[in-house]
Order: sequence, then structure tokens, then C-alpha cells
Amino acid sequence: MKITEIDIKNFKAFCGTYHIDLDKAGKNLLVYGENGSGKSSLYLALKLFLESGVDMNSTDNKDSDFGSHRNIFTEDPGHIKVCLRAHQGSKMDAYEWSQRVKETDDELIIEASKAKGFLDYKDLLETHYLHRENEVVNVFGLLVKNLLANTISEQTERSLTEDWNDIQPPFPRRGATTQIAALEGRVVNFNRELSGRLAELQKQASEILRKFGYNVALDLNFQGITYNSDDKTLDNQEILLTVEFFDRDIPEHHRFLNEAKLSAIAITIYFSSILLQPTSTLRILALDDVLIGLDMSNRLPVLDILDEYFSDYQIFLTTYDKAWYEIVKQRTSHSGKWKAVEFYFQQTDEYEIPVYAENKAYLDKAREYLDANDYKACAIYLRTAFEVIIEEFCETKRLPVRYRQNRDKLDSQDFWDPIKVENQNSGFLDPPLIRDIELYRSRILNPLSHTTITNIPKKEIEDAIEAVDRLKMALQ
Amino acid sequence: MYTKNRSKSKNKPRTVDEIIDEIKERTTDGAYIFRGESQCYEKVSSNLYRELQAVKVKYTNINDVQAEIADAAKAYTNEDSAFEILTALQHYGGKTNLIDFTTNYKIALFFSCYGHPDKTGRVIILQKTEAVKKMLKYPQGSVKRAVDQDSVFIQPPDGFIEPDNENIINIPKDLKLLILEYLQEHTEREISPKTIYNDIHGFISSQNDYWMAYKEFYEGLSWKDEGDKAKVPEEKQRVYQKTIEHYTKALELDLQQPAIYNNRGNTYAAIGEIDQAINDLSKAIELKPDYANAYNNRGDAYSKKGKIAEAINDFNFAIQLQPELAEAYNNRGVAYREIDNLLKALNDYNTAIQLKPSFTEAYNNRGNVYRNTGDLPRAFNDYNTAIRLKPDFAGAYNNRGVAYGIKGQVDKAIKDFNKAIELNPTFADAYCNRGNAYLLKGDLDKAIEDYSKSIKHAPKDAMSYSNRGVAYLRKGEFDKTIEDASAAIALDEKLSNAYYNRAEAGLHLKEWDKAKDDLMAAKKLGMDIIAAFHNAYKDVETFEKRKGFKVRDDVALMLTQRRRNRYPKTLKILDADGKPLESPNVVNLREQLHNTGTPLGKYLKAKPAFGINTAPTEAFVVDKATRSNLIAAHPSSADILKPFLHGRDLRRWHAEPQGKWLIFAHRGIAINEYPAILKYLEKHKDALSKRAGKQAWYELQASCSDPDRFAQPKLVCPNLYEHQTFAVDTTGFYCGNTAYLIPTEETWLCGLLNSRVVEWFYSQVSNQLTIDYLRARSGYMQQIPVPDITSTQKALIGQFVEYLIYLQQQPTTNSNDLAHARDAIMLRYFERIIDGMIYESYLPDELYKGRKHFFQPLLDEQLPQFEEIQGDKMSAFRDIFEHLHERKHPVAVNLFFLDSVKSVRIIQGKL
Repeated sequence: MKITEIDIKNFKAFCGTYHIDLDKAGKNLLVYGENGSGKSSLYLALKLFLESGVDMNSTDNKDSDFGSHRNIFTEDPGHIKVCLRAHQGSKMDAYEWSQRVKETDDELIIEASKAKGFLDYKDLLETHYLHRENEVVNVFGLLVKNLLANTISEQTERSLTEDWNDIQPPFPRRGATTQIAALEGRVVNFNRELSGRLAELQKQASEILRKFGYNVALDLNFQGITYNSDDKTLDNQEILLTVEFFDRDIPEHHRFLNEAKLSAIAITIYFSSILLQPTSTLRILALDDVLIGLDMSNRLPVLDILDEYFSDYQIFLTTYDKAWYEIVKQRTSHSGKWKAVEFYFQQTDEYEIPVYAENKAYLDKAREYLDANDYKACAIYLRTAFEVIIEEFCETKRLPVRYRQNRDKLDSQDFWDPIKVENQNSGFLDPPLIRDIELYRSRILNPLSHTTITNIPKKEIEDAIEAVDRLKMALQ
Repeated sequence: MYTKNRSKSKNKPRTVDEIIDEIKERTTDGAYIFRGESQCYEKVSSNLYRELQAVKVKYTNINDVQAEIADAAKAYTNEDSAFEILTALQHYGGKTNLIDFTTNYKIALFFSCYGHPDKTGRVIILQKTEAVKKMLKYPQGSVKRAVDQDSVFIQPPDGFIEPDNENIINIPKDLKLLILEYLQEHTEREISPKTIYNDIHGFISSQNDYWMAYKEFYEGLSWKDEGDKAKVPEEKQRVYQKTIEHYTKALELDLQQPAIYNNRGNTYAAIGEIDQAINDLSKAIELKPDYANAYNNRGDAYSKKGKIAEAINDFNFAIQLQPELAEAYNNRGVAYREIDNLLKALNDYNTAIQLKPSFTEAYNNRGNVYRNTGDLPRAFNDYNTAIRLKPDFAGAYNNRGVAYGIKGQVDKAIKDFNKAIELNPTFADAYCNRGNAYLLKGDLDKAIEDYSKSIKHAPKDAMSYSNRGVAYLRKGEFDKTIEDASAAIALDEKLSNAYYNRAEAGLHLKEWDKAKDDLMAAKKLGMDIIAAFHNAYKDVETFEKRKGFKVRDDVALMLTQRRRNRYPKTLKILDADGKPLESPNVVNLREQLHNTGTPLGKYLKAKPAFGINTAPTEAFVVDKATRSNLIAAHPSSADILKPFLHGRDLRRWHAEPQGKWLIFAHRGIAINEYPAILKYLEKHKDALSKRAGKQAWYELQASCSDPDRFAQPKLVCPNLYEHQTFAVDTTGFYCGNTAYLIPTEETWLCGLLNSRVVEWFYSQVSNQLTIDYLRARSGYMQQIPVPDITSTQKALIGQFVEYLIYLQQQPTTNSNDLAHARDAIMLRYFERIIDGMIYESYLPDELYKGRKHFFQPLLDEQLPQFEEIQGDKMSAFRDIFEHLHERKHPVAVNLFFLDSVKSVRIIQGKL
């Protein structure tokens, strides 16, 4: 069972309708997107869509209410629609989640949600703050509050987070023996559950970790938390991570557990926790920016791990690292199992809006919007087209682009100027084209121009599209 | 640190209850004696000492002086003993070196409050240390008052004692009357001037300046009592007026006490003078801003005035000031019900009952809420409790009658209304309800008679008029219907029923315009006129046929059904937020389960029941050593010593007996054949003889008619439990009445009864004691549906029950040591497997839709019977567990995804 199409309208950052086609086979999706470009909204869209089926009546799960995620810049209702096919030849089933319709309380979706793997960079942030002492790291918080939070307890049939919340303050008052005994009972259950899980995990995780080329074994030592009824504290919140080396040759082995490796270990543990659970019919694994914390040398093995262990999952991989995106795109292009897409974001006078078009057909999109008389959207796509063209040209020609500390601050001027300089040497752009581009760059291709765009005659916008098209041909 | 805090709080006690609690703490072991003083002297001294101080005599030994006095007094009495003479002297106010103490703290409290209303009183608490014991004198014999006051005396060597501050509790002057009132009303034995100064000398000596005022106050209190008891309204009114007069006199005598205002306010409320009541109660609150009771009473008065917001505000204050004030919760519940917030009302009644388990009003009120929500079993339960606790509770009979009416048991309803009317002959509601019942039965004349009586006692009740109109309508006296309906509308212009009734009469009289207007009015007020008409005549055509004339077209159209299925079956009860009180998911699932298979009561061949009442347990239940001794003393003892189980010994699947034995001295036992036992029981003869019932002193109180049922295989569970806790017993344990027994050989039923489905169902249908505890009750237990499954399936469940019985007994499955965590998880996993099979038994269609099977994959495994497992059983079980637990095993997969099934989510509380 795979997702073949995703249709998102007016959800979070998505203003308007976005359609992602994953082919009838239901390909994996590789997403490049700048920060704020809608990449994380896509991750959330998938996650919340899957989770929206349960807890319909519970008031504390606001997430299952589509209304709370609507794009705030539009009054129009939104939706997320996902199409599924059991395999390429079978018929397609569509599921909708919107304020009006909720088809996600289907067993298929609920089960997919329970068994899904969704990890984002925030889950790994804690690896930066871990306290290392004598090669021992306490990963209790990382595991309990992040990586294992959604695993299901064998005893209570609830998530570890729910079990954890059940032993949080307010604690019973001193002398309330019944309540203290009940709390201690829950603590014992929690300990049993966690220690059982860790025993399985360290075996599986060690195996996966070897794919990174480390001949090591993980040890996750957990002695059980205890409730101290005198001080009213939960003591021994410790899972001590140590690494046993089979290969004495690992250099600087006392500094093995640096942040990058901890990230790798954390991802490994997360993968293991997914692999130890039963699998659902629809299997989704989504990783939002999580490989960023890894050294480049450790990122590629992750692709192998995904290949080997998650070949029956549909994978959604997002990143804001363009270089890494290109590498993955290249690495996965032969398998035919991946689709690569890019998100950009554009600033309008009122708001930021993600821009997405498959195969960079931004100009086509611009024409579509112009035909629909939506000048604003047209201008956004036109500008994106323009920027992508000149940026790519600068990159392929390795033109010296002005250095800005924050890459996001680069604007079209920064790319256009070196092209003009280069043009004085090679003359690949004719002067009328340069003149047109300069003209429209200030009138239409400028982020600050949209307030007046509605006053610009349609003919002029058509000409601007024409000019950018000519530029595209000339720079190819 | 700890003691310091305590003494701090001691200096500043705030409420009556706090003071009483504080003193009560010291009374538990009888190691203290108490003295109350209505004003604070410098020292705790004898009157002789004070006398001597006043004339500044410096005597070396005060007791010598006392001895001289006693000697001198001898001439005037027949008493020989010096101490008796001193007691008498003390009694009549003579000068002695005795200081009055009492062993009853309440009496000390009385003295601390009685007198000197303008001064702080105090209670002195004295621990009976060795030093104190030396000074202690007990009164001997004859003086009645000394006995009634539980008197003891301290005879101090120096004429005074100086207890440290820790042991002195000050009584603020404004609490004095409150405490006196408390002592009179809330103690098992009345403590008041009447009982304390129970002879003429007492009366005389207790007179003081304030006596008259006090007297008025006490007079008021006792009149109020009488008024509460009075049944005839006129009499009640008269007595309450008297009460008010006395309180007013007390106030005029300048006894400006909050308690008096509070009491007078209450009395005003009782005679319907609500504004006066609110005035007085406000005054009480002004004088004593932390007066929880006054807030509560004023809230009640506001309630009666219809000012619900103010009322709730006052109840909140009362509860804040005194969180255990059950009355305030009950009253707030009434207020919430008034504004249709049934959930909050229910909560409040629950709390009230929890705080005060004998609170009849709260039961009655809670019953009404349950009745409103359609939960009749719980409603009946509450009314029955109320009636049991207070057999002359007319209101509860009336309400139970209404519940019977809803159930369709009209005769039972009438019986209850009769009783209510017998208890309160002016009970208008009960007349009106009985009228409704007669109307239902078709006894129109009796109905009309009752409605008329109801109108007589409550002339402003529109409903009785309207209903009488219905009765006339049925009789065909349409003019009278119109008359009554019009009267009802005049009293309550929003009474849709009355408009409708008048319209129906209009139809019969062919007054089309008037009928149409009335129909419109009824409809506008929210009445489903089509349904009402349908219930009476089926449809317009039938009506026309019966009457022999046509209904005017426009009117006929108003009464014609346009869409189908528009008759609402039951009224949906909404909470304040507009949500249905119970989710339809829950209601439907409960109904679905209810209709599955056979009820347990029918399924079983023998009746379930509780165990034996073993009280007094220390006599009938003996340990192993005692048993050996009894058998050694006489071999016959062995015949009636039975292995014994307590409710608290029960675990899931398997009991953990504590090695106790029951002396099964059933009714009619030939006790002389068991001489050793008889001799043993004689030691407890006192306690045994005190029991109620007709048994001989050596017999068990209500031993069951059929002792054999203990010897048979059975399932046992505690009478009170958090989660379903049935254990299998095949060894013939005898059980105490804290255990509930289901005689059966079918062990699989243990799996069924311990399942999550049954726990959910049981908590739905039974009367939950609190949020946390369930109670075994035959009435509910027998409703548990037993699903129709094959004997193979039953055997498979039974097989897992056998596994669990074994596992439950293994130390590693219950150990907190994480080294054994896996074993604990195994036990739980096997329980979940049983849960899975039970879900499949109840909800096969729903599970199969998502291709979730448990029986089949488990049968495919051909798991060994428990007896077939050879060698190390634990290791065999671990193998079975790890196999069934593999992540791709269908059982593991189906268990993991079980909560994607909607009903399962409802049961797990996730929907």
C-alpha cells in the first residue's frame, strides 16, 4: 500500500492548492526546501493527516481538528487529500481530512499512524545538550521524551509518553499510602516496560550501527527510576549509554561519542524502535532534516540503511542542505523508486508563501495563474522562475557570487550582477533582453512590487514571462 | 519543627470543626483529661486557692486547710469518707482544693463555652502522667451530676497547676454559641444545660446574667426541633414563629451572636420569609466572615428565591471555608440541577454522599439526576437507599414512584405515591403524580380527584391544572378541558402542554381558529405537536373517522407527518455545554453487548452469592497454630475447620490464601460433638452473644443454606475492586463475606470475567462506588452477557487461564526486580491474548472486517495443555511467549493494532 498523490490546500504554510504526484507506484519523496519554504509543513501535513483519525472526541487532542491548522492568510476552507493504491494496478482510494470531512478514522489510516516513523530535527536537538562524562552519556531524556515517546507499552497498551505523564507531579502527599503505592505500581510498570524495550533495542541498534562502519556494541544501562516519597522526587532518571569497542583500532576512541555520532546513534535507536514493532499495511517513514546533524560521511550509510531495513516503507526525506539534496537525488535516481522535488518560498508584501512546481515548471505555473487572472500568484511563480534560472546559472558556471553570511539574504541582484559581468566577456545575452530583464526586475520580478501588480496591464506581465523565458533559453 | 508548627496552628483555630478535631486528637487512647473554663484565669486553680489568694492568706499547705473544712462539714452530712464530703462540697459550690476535670472532652468544651459570652474561654488538656495521676481523684458513688459529667478531680498540692500553653486551647468568644449548638445537635448524647446541670442545684448555680439570653436561645433551639418534626403545615408555621420569637428575645437581650442570626435566618427561610432570612444570614456572615454554615444557608435561601448565581456563589464560599460540608455540596447540586447542569450536579451529590454516607437528601437528589438521564437502575438504588435510611422520607417515595412510572410499573408507582401522601397529607406533587398514574391506567375519575387535591394544596401549580384538563379531555368534557388549560396558561404562559390540550379540545369542538392558534403556540414553545397528536389518535384520518367530521384543511396539514421517523424515542439530556451526557458510542456499544449471548445469571447452573459473615472474625477465623492446637485437643475439631479465604487474599486468576482456617460452626451444629471448639469459642462468648440474629451464640451469624457450594469448583472475586479480579478455586476454600462466589467448573469464564470488555461493561451497568472502585453485586453480575462461542474456543481461553494461574504464582512474574521484567510482561501478554479472544467473541464482525483473528492463529499453534508441559514450566512458557510475541506473528500484530477497532477504542476510553 503506497501513497500515490497528496493534495494540500490552505494548510499551515500552504496557501492555495498544492499537488504532489508520486506516480502510480507510490514513490519515495525527496524534498529540498529552504527554511520556511513549506518543507516542514509537508512533513506536518502527512503526520497530522495520519494521526487525525484517533482521539476524535478527546478535547485535549486539538491536532485532530483541521481547523486549528488552517492557513491563516486565507478565509477559504482547506483540506488534505491523500490517494492510496495497494499496488500499481489496483484501484485508487482517496481519503480526505478537512473541517468538513474526516475519512481518516479508517482502520487502515489509524494503523498506519500507530506504526509510522516520523522523526524531525527537533527530536534530535537534545543530543547537543547531553552531558558526557567518562564516556558515559545519560540519554534518559532523549529516549523517553523524544525517540521512544510514541512506542506502545506492552502492559498498558498506551504510548510511553502517556505512561510517563502518569508518573509526573503532582505527587501524592506524604503519608497517603494508597496513592503512593499506586504511583509506585505505575513506576514499576514503567521500569519494566522501558527496560524490556531497551534490551531489544540495544541488540537491533548495534546491528544497524555497524552499517556506519563502527564495529561497536551499544549498551543502554537502565536500573529503573524510583519514587522518593520523602523528597517527592523521581530518582534515577538515568539510561547510561556506553559503547563497547570490538575494534581497538578506532582512533581517538575516548572521543568517540561526539555530537555527530550521538546523532547517528539516536537515529539508529529510533529506526530500531520502529523495526521492533509490528508493521501496518501502509508504512510511512518521514525524516525531516534529521540527517543534518551527521557528518557527511555518516549520511550516505543512512541511505543504505533505509534501503536495507525500510525497503517496504514509503519514505519521505526532506532537507534544506542543497548539496546533500543533490547527492541523494543523484544516488537515488537510478532506482526509479524516488521522486525529487524542491520548495522555495517567496515573500509577498503580505506574507510568505511556499512555491512548488514539479520539474521546475515555474513559468508554466505563472502562465496558468495569469490565465486565471491571479496576478499575485503569477508574479510569485514568475519571480521564482527568474531566481532559479539565474541562481543555477551562477552555480554551474561557478560565477563569484557575493558572500552573505546568511544565504537566505541573497537576492536576485546578487546573482544578476555577476551574470552581467560575465556577459561583458562572453556576450551570451543580447542587449534588448538585458534591457527587458532590468525593466521587469524592478517592476514585476521584485518582491516589493506586488502591491501594485494589480495595476499592471496583463500585456506587460505576459511580456515579462516572455522575457524570462528568453533568458532561460539564452542561459541554457 | 513539627511540634512547633502544631502549636502555632493551635493558637489560631478558626472553625468549630478545627477546634473539635484538635481536641479529639487527644482523646483516642484515654490518656488525657479535660477541663473547660468559660473565661481565662491566670492559673488553673481550685476555688479554695482563689479564695485564699483573695484574702492574701499565706498557708504552707492548702490541703491542710481543705482537711479542716471537710472536718467541719462532717457535722452536716451522713457521709463518713472525707473525700465524699469534699465531692459534695465541690458540687454545691463550697470551697475545696479540688479542680473539676472530666474524661469527656465534649463536657469540657461545654464548660468552656457556657457563660461569659464576651470572654475567651479555654479547654485545658492534661495528660495522665505519673505526676498527674498522683493528684487525680475519682468521685465515688452517689452524686448523679458527677457521673453525668464524667467528672474526675485534680487535687493539686499547691492549689493550682500550670499546664504549658501547648495544652491549652483557647475558645474565641464568637465560637461559643456555635460550639454549644454543635454539642446539642451533633453528639451521640446531647450535651446541654439540661443534661449537664441535671439537678436543681445545678440549675441554681448555673444562673448568671446571661442566663436569660441563653435560655431564650435554647428555647429557640428546641422549638426549632419541634417545628422540624411537625407534619401539619399550620402547626409547623406556628412553631417556627415561636422559635423566631425566642431567638429575637435572645438578640434583644444583647446576646449578639452569629449563631442566633444564623438560626433565626434558617427559621425564616423555613416559613418562606426569604428576604428576612437573607437579612439575618447576611448579618451572621458579617459578624463572622468565615461562617461556612451561614453561607450555605444563605445560598439555600437565594436558591429558593431563584437567584441561582448568587446561591452557587455562596455555596462555593461555604465549601471553600469548610471543604467537608456535605450540605453545601448537596445544595449546590440542587442549584446546578436548577440550571440543567446535570453533570456538575451529579458530581456534587457524589461528593456530598462521600462526605456523609447517611445523607438521605443527597441520595434522593442524585436519584433524580439519574432518573433524568434515563439511568433508572441507579436512580432506584439511590431512592431505595434514601428510604432505607429514612423510612418516613415522603419525597423519596414520591420520586421513586415517578421512576416506576417511567418504567411502566404503574401499580408500584401508585403504591409509592400512596405512601408519600400517607407520610405527608399535603404533598401536592405526590397527588399530581398519582393523578398522572391514574390517568395512565385510564382511571379518569380518580385522576381528576387527585389533580384537584394537588391544586388545593398548591393553587399556583399550572401543571396540575393542565393535567386535569387532559383527564377531562379523555372523558369527553371538552369545555372543562378548555377551562383548566386556560387556568394553567394564566399561571404559566409558557406551558406548551396546556396550549396543546386546549387545541385538542378545540378540534373536538370544531373551533378551528382557536385550535390553530393554540397549535401554533404549542409548536412555537418547542412541542412536537405532530408526535403528540400521533400518540393520541394515530393520524388525522383516524381522528376524522372516529369523530365523523372533517378537520379543516389548514389545521389537518399542521398535524400531518411530512417526514418519516420523526418521533423521538427518548429525550436526550444535554450538559451545560450542550453535549449529550453520554456519548452515543458508549450507549450503543453497551446495548450491543447487552444483547449478545446469554446473561451470566441464566448461563450459570447455580446462583452466585457472597461468602459467609464471619463476624466476629477474631473468634471464627484462626491461624494454623490454633488449628493444630484445636485438633490436638480433640480430633473432631478437624471436621469443622475449613481452609479460609478473605476477599483481600484474592488476586487475578489465583488466590493467595493467608493460611487461615474457618471454624464452620453453621446453624444447627451439634456443638457438643466438638468440645475443643466449644471451649475455644467460649473465650469470645461476650462478643459472640452481642450479635444480632437468632443464631446460638456459638453459631455463625448467617451461615449459608448450602455449605457444599464452597467445596465445589468456583470463581471468586473480592466484593470491592478496582479491576476485575476473579480467581479460580478448585480446592474448596471457604470464603468470608468480603468475597463473591460464582459456582462453576468452567475456568474459561474466569478469562471472560477478567477481560477488559467485561470490566468496561460492568462499570457501565453497575453502581460504581467511587470513581475508582467497582462492587460485586449479583443483580449486575448476572447481567454480564456470556457470548456464544464454541467449546473449542472456550477450551482455548480456559487453557490460557490455566497458564495464568500458574504464572501468577511464580515469584518472577510479580517481582519488581528489572531482571525479571520480561516475566511480568509475559504474564500481562497472556492476559492481553485472552482479552483479544474475548473481544473476538463479543465483536466478531467488527474484528473480522479488519482481518483480526485470535482464535484461529492460536489454535494453529497447537499450544500444549498446562498438564502436558513437562520439566521447567517457566522456560516452556517463555518460549511460547517469545514465539507468540514475534513482531510478525498474527497474534502480536492483531494485539498491537487492536485499538484501530472502534469499539475497542471506546472500551479503552480512547474515543
